[in-house]
Amino acid sequence: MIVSVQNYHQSFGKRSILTNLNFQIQKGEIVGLIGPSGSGKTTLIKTLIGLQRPTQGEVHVLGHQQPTLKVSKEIGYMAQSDALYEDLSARGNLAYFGKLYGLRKDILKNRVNFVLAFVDLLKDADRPVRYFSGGMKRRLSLAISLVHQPPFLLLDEPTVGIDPTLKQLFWKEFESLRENGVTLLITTHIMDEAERCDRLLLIQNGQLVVSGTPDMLKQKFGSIENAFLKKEEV
Amino acid sequence: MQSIIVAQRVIAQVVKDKRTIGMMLVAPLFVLFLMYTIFGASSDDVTIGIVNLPEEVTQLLKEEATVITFPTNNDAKKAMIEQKIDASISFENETAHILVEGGNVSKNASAIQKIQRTLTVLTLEKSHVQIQSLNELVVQLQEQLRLITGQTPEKVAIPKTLSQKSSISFLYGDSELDLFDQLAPALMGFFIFFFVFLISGVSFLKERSSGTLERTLATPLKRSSIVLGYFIGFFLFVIIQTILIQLFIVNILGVTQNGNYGILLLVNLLTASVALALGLLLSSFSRSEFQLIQFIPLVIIPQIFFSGMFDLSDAPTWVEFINRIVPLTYAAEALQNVMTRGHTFIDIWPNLLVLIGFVIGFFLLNMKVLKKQRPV
Ligand SMILES: Nc1ncnc2c1ncn2[C@@H]1O[C@H](COP(=O)(O)OP(=O)(O)OP(=O)(O)O)[C@@H](O)[C@H]1O
Ligand SMILES: [Mg+2]
Repeated sequence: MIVSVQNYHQSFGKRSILTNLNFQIQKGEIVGLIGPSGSGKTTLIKTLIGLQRPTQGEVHVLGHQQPTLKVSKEIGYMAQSDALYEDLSARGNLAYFGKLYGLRKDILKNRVNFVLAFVDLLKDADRPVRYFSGGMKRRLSLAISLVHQPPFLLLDEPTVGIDPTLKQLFWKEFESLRENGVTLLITTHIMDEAERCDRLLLIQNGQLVVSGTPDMLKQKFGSIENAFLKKEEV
Repeated sequence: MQSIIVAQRVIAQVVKDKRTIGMMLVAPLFVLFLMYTIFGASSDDVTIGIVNLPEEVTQLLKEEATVITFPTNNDAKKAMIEQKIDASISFENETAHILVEGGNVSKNASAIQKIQRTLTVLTLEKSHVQIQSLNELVVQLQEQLRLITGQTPEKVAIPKTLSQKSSISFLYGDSELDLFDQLAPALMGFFIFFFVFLISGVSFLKERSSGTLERTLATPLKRSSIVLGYFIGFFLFVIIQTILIQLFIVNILGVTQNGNYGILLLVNLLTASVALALGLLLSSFSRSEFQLIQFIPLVIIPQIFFSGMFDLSDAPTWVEFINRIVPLTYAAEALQNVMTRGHTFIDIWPNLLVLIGFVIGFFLLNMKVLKKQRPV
């Protein structure tokens, strides 16, 4: 088991954001995290990484209770907004994070080149990130999350601002990672992306309202979009 | 070491940012040079108008200042209104009447000082003459006494000491020590403090607002390694900056430096470390660069008043209290003692200890603040 969330509550001050979440994620799954804007998807992901302490309940990742530094190395993280050093080149950014994840020098160079090629940034590898377009930054952020070959990936809206061709490529890579036993948790607002997930978690009003395969949601509500909309009306 | 990785990145970033390097290395030198020039520009040459002055006094005054003779007091006053003279002096019934312009504090003080010095010399010379004539009188009296009584009385004379002039010498430095010499150590400390604070604060703020701090905290990096990494990275530039400022002040501007160069460097680097730690800390309480700048009049500027540039002997207790809790007090005190008084490590170690205490204190506070963004 990769993730186990039990009786998890999160509040900021007096505001309760997530209440009583219970779910698990198994090895080799692509799990889609969907829900309206502001429903708490990013909040959940930050807790899974260990950037904040659960207000209540227990969150285990790879057998360790979060927050802990013990599993940080095993998680690849792509934040919703790009967190890049604008003065450094793409290669500089990748090398920095690679080193922080403990990659040895000889391996580091190969990995950096590999992920740069994968996100199609080899040509621009040595340009300062300041000059990058939005999509290029998004691609670099994804490359950073992959550089240390983590078994568990947390991707917060990874395909925003990326052209359709590259999006297809990304999803092919996600699926091939899954074949290699990597587990992925991906947040998205795009329905056809949701359909490609093995399982969907729908969060509304701070609660986990549905957890099931895309087919299950389609059978129950007609379409995934309906599930999204219907629940909101209730 | 994880902190080395962070330090390398900080260095790479600063090196690519030419403006920041320029600001850190050139700006303090420029400001110091400007102050040096401005302090040197105030001359203590004064012009004094004289009315109806005895010739001997005029001669003495001419040795001290530029002298212009006026026929009447009114003419002198007119010239003063036109700011042609800084003071005027006239003699009536053996009494000196002095009129001072009053608009320029340093020139007025200088004029008064010069007139007073002249009058003192005059009095001394007069008393010297009087003592001599008294002595002559005594000799005459004794001669008469001998003639009347037929006996030779013992010789008496008025002691010379009464008429001797005083001589002034300095425990540290000499009379050539000017205002800039006295201010330079404190100014050096202040500018190192100010620029290091600004640059470390702004770059850590950028790290925070761009999200890279949070992204970095999602890696296995420890909180302490981040703060330490920033320390090590910036320290490289701080060392260069400090050596440059020190060389500039001592070797180019020629400020009196009686102390050990290495100890001076040690004090400066500790000062910079306090500023570095404080910059990182205060950036955590700002949401934007503008908010960080707002700390400057609150936290940085007041420290100038406590940096030993001003005499606080008569200040109220609460001022003395603030004076004792701000770091620049201890830095400036140590710098002044080393440069002007030639103090060594043995004399200033309590100050160094306080500065180290500030660094450790701010460092721990930084770690505590970072806990908000990474609980472990
Ligand atoms: N540190 C925080 N302090 C206070 N409130 C917060 C904090 N972080 C998030 N929130 C609040 O929690 C709620 C959920 O935010 P979150 O970013 O998790 O939403 P989201 O589901 O990711 O939305 P989106 O799809 O727009 O990215 C929001 O109302 C937000 O204002
Ligand atoms: Mg979000």
